[in-house]
Amino acid sequence: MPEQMGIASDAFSRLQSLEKQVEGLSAQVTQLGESRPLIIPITTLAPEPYELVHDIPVALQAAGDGFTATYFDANLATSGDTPEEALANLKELLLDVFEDLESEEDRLGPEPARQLAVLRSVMRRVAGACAES
Amino acid sequence: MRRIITKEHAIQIARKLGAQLRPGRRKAHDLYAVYHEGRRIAQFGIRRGSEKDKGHGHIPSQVFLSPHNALRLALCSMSAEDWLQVLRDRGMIPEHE
Repeated sequence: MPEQMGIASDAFSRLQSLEKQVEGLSAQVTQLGESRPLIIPITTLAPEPYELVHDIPVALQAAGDGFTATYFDANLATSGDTPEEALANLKELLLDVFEDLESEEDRLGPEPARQLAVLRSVMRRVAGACAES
Repeated sequence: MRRIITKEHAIQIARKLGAQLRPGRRKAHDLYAVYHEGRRIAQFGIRRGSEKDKGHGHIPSQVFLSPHNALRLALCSMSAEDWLQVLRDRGMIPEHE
């Protein structure tokens, strides 16, 4: 009888250990799911004087205690404390980089030249708007 | 423990690569551009604001490195020349003659 009680006690301990492992694995799976990027389109650059040829897909992803927003085609990315801030920051970055690359078009290496080409394929100044120097 | 790239790391990377502050009209970032032999080869934004631990998880992709190597670049175990060699290996700048 004591031997059977010992066996039952061992089995119970093992069961408790397995339950803890399952809980930990479940939490990790949930975390992985939450770190998958969410794709949000930028549909307008208003109030800036630019229009989009088509929506810009942006990958929003948790990073540390903040978020990153990435436009993969142009390899442009930025961060924010919230998803909304990261997305807003990326819109500004796209415009800043576009204008800056255009201002130095004659001295761009291969990757910045490619980035400018991508940006030109998705956005353009509204007719009549002047670029500020 | 996962290491996070912060604003402080981004500033260190900008200094190491000799990145130049570019004029920007908007308020979210300071835009830095990296040049090599007179040609622009990369740029990245550093978020404005005083907190040096602000998350800059976007920096590795903007300097064509893994998060681990971006941290090495910020913390001095990777040199600017090491970084340029990474770009040469990827065909983004010419090899030395």
